[in-house]
Amino acid sequence: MFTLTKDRAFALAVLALVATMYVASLDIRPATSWQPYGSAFYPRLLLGVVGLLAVLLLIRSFLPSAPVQTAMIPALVAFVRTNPRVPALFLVFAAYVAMMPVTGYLLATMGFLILSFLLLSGFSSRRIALVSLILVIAVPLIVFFVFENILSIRLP
Amino acid sequence: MPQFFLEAFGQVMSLHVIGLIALGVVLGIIGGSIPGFTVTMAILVVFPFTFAMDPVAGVSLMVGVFVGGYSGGLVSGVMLGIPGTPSSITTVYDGYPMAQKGEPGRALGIGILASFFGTIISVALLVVLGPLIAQFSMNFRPWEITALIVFALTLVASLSAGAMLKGLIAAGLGLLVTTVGYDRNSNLRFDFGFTSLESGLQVLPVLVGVFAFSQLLGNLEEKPSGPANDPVNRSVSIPYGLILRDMAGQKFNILRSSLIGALVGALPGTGGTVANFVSYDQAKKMARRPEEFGTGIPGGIVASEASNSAVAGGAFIPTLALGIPGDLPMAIMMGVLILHGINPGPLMFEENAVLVGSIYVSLLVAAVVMVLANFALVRWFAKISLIPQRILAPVVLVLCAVGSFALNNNLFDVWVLFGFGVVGYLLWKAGVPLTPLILGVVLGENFEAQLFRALELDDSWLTFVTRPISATLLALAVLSVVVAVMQNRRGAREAVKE
Repeated sequence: MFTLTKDRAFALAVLALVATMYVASLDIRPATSWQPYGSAFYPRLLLGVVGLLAVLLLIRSFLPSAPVQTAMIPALVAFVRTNPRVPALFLVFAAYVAMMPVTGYLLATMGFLILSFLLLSGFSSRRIALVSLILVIAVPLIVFFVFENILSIRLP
Repeated sequence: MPQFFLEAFGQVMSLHVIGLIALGVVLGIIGGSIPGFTVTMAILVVFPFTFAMDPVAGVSLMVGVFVGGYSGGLVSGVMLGIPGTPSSITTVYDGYPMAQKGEPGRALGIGILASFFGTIISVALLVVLGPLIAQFSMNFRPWEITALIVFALTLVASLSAGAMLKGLIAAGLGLLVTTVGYDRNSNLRFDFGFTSLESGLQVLPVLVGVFAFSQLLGNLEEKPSGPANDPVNRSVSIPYGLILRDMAGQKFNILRSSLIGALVGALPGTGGTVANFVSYDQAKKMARRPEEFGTGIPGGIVASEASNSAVAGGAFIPTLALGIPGDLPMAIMMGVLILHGINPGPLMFEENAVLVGSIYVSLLVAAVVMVLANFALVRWFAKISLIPQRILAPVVLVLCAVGSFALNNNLFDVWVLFGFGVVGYLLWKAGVPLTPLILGVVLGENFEAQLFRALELDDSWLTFVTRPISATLLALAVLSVVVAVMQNRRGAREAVKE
């Protein structure tokens, strides 16, 4: 029975990417007499090499000498259960980037820091809560001051 | 003394630049002393602050972080028994036992001085070898440069323990990243329907995304509850007389370990961790009483710290002379140079001689500042090394986001950071080595340019194997893959036997 291991999942993901990029490369302007290799040649060369290596990885994963790996999906589910903070932090960061043009850098950053600290340490002690609160206020303001006034770079 | 060196000396020795180097060193030490934070992360965090600086000031600040970062791993290694960076793993072997014996100040003092000598010796090697290698590589034409990049990528991939195939795929993916957007003939290749991608992917958000997310979130996942070892007594006082006597007895160890560090650092894909182990192993083999290694002796700390600090100067050799970064932090440093409009490579010694000189001078100044800062502030660095990752990670993510935005005042770059953050983390979880990917991204543009320059000059692919240097480099590339395959097979056979 086929078991989706890390190596197989990676190889299949790479092959899917290669196929997608190859299809996209069909829209690239074809070679001309003064550009004999054309603009699609180099990416297709890379896609060919990467695709070949991914096929080798996939084949190797079925050989008896392949490193022993467990099924990926149950391992992934178990990982998310034991480490829910990791995917949650990704989501909070995505929300932070989405909010930046709406609320501006300062409010979005303060919001991101509050949510992240709540998520990661849960303000578990008075000391951690105090440090977190200081950072929530100080970090955005210091960064804003340095970029806007010293480096002359405007933030959203 | 060459004119460019004097000019560089004049530029670096301004109060402004020395101040920046000192700031960089302190930030580097702090970054290096926090377990799991690493030199690379410290460089990534500080980098955006150099955008508005002139190249000499910006690069000097980064050199400061680089030198400080390599020495910073010492503090947590000695005080907590946890290496601050992977390149200070063997520091723990003797530094922590010495600290447990009630001599943390002595362990730190020996480490600080060994770091200083390691940096100085590696800079001397850089000053001597850098121009020689650059002079030699002036003979390199596009065929040789293309072959050199292939060799660097295969070497890095083959050094990825047990994951060579995935390393090679990662390197290929890194090269593919640079095909997004318009090509050299102004033809659009890939934009996947996003107009913002037409100008290509910016290197910085890609690098930061791939590296920072996997590193920070990986740390949160693996070490949520802080250090496992008992911290030693934090009242640190440096016994200067004793450590000077210790160092006097380690002259050959310092020289040998520094040379190992500098030479290993100069090899693509190796870096501080490899230098650290090789140097410690050699010091142990050469010692009169090798059985004492690991019990808290000065020789072990010297071997470890002199070698990992010597990597700083050594890693600059291929970066400056060939345009090929020696390790991950140096790949980021190369990105820094490129973003400041400087293309590392043999021509840099002619076109930007003053900047090359300023890197030499900055390294020397940073080594001196590193000693002074470490001696003055070591007890504070020891406290900072206890900052938990759960407090640090969100702050660093904010700095990464702001740095990516500030590159072009473009929010799309922050989305690129996030996207590659997810990709980098998933690849890391799948056991895919990230260094080849990052190297591919950094070298991709030059690789394509050199490959097509070669084909425009001579459309025969055979020229790559008929030119001696190019053929040798390609043979070495193949050899690195073959050796890695054989080692993997041997390892697998031994595992089956066990």
